[in-house]
Amino acid sequence: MASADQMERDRKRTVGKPATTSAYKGPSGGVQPGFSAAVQNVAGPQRAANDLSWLKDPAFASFVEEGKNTIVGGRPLAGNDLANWVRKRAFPGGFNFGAPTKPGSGGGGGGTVSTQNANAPLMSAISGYAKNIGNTTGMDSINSLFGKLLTDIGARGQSQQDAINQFYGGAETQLSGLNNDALAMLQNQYNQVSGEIGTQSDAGRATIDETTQRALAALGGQSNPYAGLQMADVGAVTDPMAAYSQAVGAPQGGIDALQQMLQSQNATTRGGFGNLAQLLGASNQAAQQSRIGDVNVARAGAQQDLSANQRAAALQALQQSQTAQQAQQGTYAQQLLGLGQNRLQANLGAQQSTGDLLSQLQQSQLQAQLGQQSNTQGRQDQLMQQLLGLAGQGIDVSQIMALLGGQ
Amino acid sequence: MAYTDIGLNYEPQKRGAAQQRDASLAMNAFSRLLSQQRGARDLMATDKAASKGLEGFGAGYGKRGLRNSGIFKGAASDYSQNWMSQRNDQLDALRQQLAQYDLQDAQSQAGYQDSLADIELAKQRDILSTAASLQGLRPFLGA
Repeated sequence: MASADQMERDRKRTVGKPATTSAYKGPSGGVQPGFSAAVQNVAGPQRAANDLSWLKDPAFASFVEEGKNTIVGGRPLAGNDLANWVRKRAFPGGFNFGAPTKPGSGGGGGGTVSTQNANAPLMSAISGYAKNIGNTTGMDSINSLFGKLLTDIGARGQSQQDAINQFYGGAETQLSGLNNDALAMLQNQYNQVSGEIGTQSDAGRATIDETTQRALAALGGQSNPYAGLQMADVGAVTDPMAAYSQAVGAPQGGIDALQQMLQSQNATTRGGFGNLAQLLGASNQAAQQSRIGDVNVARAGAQQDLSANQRAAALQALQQSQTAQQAQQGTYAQQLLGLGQNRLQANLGAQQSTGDLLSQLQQSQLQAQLGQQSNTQGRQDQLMQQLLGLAGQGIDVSQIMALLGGQ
Repeated sequence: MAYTDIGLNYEPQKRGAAQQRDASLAMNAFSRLLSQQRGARDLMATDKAASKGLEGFGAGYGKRGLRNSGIFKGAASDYSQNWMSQRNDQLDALRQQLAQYDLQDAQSQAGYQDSLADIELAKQRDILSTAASLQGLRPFLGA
């Protein structure tokens, strides 16, 4: 394929020389030989006005195709560049749009082929049509439409995101409220249990004190069962026949001695029994005092047990409350985590969906833009082919140019 | 254990102790009565026998003309001492029996009081244990 520089060199080499029917000597090599002659031949003046079959000439089409495949400045030739390139390629002998010519004056030479009357109008028409072709109205409409669609999708995505955030935000708020209620209920239960522990402990202490007092009263109220226990006093020992003894003059010494001895013996016996009763009473009182001591010891022990049980109950209640609160917090954290995960997935899904839509839209926009560019390019190429073909045949294209808006 | 159960457990023991004491006191009172009657009869019999013997004692020494003798006076003194001694022995025995019954009454009362005191102590310990255990909290603490 020939480069632009090479074509320019070829053009300069042939400028001003008559067109020949010899084969093209350019670097592309594939140029249809005798193209100018062929054009001259098929573009007879008498047929040219109505016969445009030359546009289907494979020689001319090959020039156009070759030009479209020529890369200049990093992109294929198009538009005016392509037209100029085809013109140079098809008319290597020169083609001056600005120079007036006469029909048939070329005599089939081809090298100086030119339009007869409207090179300048031709350029004007080409420019006008190219200008129309290059009109960005279609592209602007595409961009405007897709811009609106992008905005709409963005708004929809944001709306969906807002709905997701609102829903999960509400759920989190509700869950937080439920968690606070549960924690408050647990705290209330703990307070009730703690209060009940205090109440029960106070009642226990009152019961301990009252029971102890009753036991002490019962023990203290017991009398000594041996108190007042004594042997009956039968009084002084008397001589049952004292009058008789005195009457008969019986000696009193022995009688008196026996009387005193018996009296003493009786007193001793009575005293001994009294001592026995006293000992038994003292023993009874000692046992009673011992029981009183037991009651007080039991009272002290019960109070200590009560205090220990109270502390244990309070600790147990606290542990139960803490365990329940921890379980509640754990449940809440899991539920919150679940909500967060669902929220994240919903957000990611929404973002993905919006992103997919945006991507599809951008692809569609790009395709529409490419289609628009391709159509523009195609129309430009087609125009160039037609005008160049007509001009190459020396046909007056003024009407066409006028139709296209040229002068 | 509920406080009601504690009361129901120990009241029967109290009643049993009181019943046992009352039975012992009643039996002792009846025995005392019998002992008093027996002692009184024995003493009366001794006095009656001694009185009858005293009537024959003087007449016997009189028939033998020893009514104013020293032997008679000595014998009269011995008779008096024997009667007084026998009578004192009987009275002393009766007195000791009565004292024994009094002692048994006191021991029955002491035994009852001991039982009552032990029951009160056991009852107090049960109540203290129940009060100290904070049983009313078990439904709250799941114990």
